[in-house]
Amino acid sequence: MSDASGTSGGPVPVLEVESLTKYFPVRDASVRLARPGRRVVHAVDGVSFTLRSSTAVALVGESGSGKSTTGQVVSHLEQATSGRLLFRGAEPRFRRRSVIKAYRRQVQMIFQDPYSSLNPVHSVAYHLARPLRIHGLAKSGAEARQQALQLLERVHLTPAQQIIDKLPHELSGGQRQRVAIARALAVQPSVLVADEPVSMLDVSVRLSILNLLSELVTRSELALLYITHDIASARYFAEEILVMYAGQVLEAGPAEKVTQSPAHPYTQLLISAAPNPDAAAGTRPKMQSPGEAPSLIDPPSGCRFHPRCPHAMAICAEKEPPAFRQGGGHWAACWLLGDGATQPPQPSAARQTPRPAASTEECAKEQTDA
Amino acid sequence: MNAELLLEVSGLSVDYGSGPGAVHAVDRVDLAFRRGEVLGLAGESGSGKSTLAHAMTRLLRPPAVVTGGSVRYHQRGPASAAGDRVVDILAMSEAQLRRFRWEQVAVVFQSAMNALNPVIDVRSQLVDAMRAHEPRMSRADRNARAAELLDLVGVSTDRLRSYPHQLSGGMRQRVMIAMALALNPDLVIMDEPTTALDVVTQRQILEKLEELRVEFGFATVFITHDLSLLLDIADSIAIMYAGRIVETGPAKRVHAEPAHPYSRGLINSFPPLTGARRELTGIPGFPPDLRALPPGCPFAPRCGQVMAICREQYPPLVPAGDPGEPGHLAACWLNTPQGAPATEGSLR
Repeated sequence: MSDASGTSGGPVPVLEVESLTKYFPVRDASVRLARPGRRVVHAVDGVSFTLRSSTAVALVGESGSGKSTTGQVVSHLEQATSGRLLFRGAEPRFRRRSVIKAYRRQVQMIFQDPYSSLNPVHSVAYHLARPLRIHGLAKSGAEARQQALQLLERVHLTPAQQIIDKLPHELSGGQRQRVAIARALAVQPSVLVADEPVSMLDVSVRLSILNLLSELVTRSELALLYITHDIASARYFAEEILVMYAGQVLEAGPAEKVTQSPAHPYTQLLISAAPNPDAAAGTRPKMQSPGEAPSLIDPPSGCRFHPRCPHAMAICAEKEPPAFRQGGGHWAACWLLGDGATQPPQPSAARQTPRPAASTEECAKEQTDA
Repeated sequence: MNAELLLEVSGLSVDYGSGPGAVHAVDRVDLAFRRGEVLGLAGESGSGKSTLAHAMTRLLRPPAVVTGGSVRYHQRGPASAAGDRVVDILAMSEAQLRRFRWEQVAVVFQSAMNALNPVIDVRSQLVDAMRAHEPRMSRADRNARAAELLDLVGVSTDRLRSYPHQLSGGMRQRVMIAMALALNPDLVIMDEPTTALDVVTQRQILEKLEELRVEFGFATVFITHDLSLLLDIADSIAIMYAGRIVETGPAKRVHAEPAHPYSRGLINSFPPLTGARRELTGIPGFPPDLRALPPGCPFAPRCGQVMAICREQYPPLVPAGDPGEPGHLAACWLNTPQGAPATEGSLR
């Protein structure tokens, strides 16, 4: 999937992921007894993308699509089953602890739930000083405190002097998430993985956290991987969107292209399902795709979306679709976009531009038959 | 919508705890809605929206105390008698409540996993309410009704013998809705029914609900923090902040011309999926601490148009907009003559 990086050129790649897979063994005895043999959950299956400095990339998908697992592999909380992960062009040798430590300094993570990601018995100062001491960025307690105060100001938690000695329970959800962001920034990372950083927060503070992240991406030249189920917020602040379904990326490209002219039926479904009060009443198409996400133990053959797809054809159940280029770094893996398409995809309400002829631009992706 | 009134809440207040340390979770709330209406109740966590819904159905547990107000429910009388019978839910005896709940008002809770019993199969849970409320129903009838209910909400009837853990989140929520509809209630209260679900599943369930509502004509109180969803599905909207209703009115009107700065901020907190990509500001600051509310309007510390009077006195809930629309009210000094220049510019 050489095109998965989306827009070519631009800032230097910081982190590249190629054909990443992560399988988890099935421990459930009832599943194993029903079908003997080594059973695995195909959580992530062949995902590729590139993160560049000062750029936000959004990974959008439903729960169970593998988006969080991808984030955990990127931040090395999970070890990939196969595939390559390049940090500044080189593959880190994760067997050595010193390499893991150095890597973690560069790639930091923000978690969804700021109520459980901070230790309730420790103060804000402790949370911010710890990464500084562990990575040798502050030699003394006083120095750590000084830097912690600066970090709080960077995330706009002011007056920092008052916040720094508080315990997590004295802070609101939005404030806690700012502390978590400050903690991630403490070691001056170059990559930030934010796994649903606002979905547990109150609506009125979500936007300010997104704006803060956006500001940090620009000012601190961070490469941000924003993991979310909310495609509208992905459009709001990411340059590039990858749409994941059942462990695979089905469509990727510049945020505007993916949201304004979605090429894959699944992306069209996601967009038509999102609440959009600005759309005129009565224009919402009826949901055409019943059913739920498939089992990842026995993923469907061919295209993983075909059992739910309103446009499914015979080929969809047989062969996995390659990535078809849509121009401008936008691609989608759907047979409807290929030569053999017998019917064009129905334009959804959200689609405004006609689909470009894609047949001649078939991507160089290796076809992996299911 | 010209249907008859179904429920009137007036001056309802709920405290957690008592004495000087009491938290006023719901503070003098007035609300009314009609048969078949979808009322959206929006607010952040801690705004009192769930407490209000629980107070309306007498589901509150200590330390919550209803400190005032009434909840008048217009019960459809027997066909012979003209008009409705009005009952105050807050004054009902335990025995009356037992009959009233489920037959008249049903509740769908957010976390279906916790609301369903994990060790009892779906059929038994569906049949339970029927057994309690209609003891004369035969076993075969009850089972047939359970199958019918599952079919209504779009779950295959072979799921009757499944246990909750064998169902997906969306299916569990559908089972919860089926249970709520078991006795044909006139009012279904939904407390964040789709919050834990994916957008696609959420949309499927909302469409199913709308279908059922048209078929059976029950009214819905839909509680959520997601205002963008309410603008999509509700007939009217009430927005709560720090225990009080700050704005209420027809959904389209509130969306097009929000009169309270908080509502405006909320509406501007949802990035749009279509149209120009623009910078949104959200609402500055943090939700208030209910234990230490400032005097006057609790939104004043976060408000961009704050005036001197806002910090002194709580604004009354008065008709909003110029020209106004029936039912559109807002509690903001900007809407009142006392509130300085209520010109076009300051209202938009």
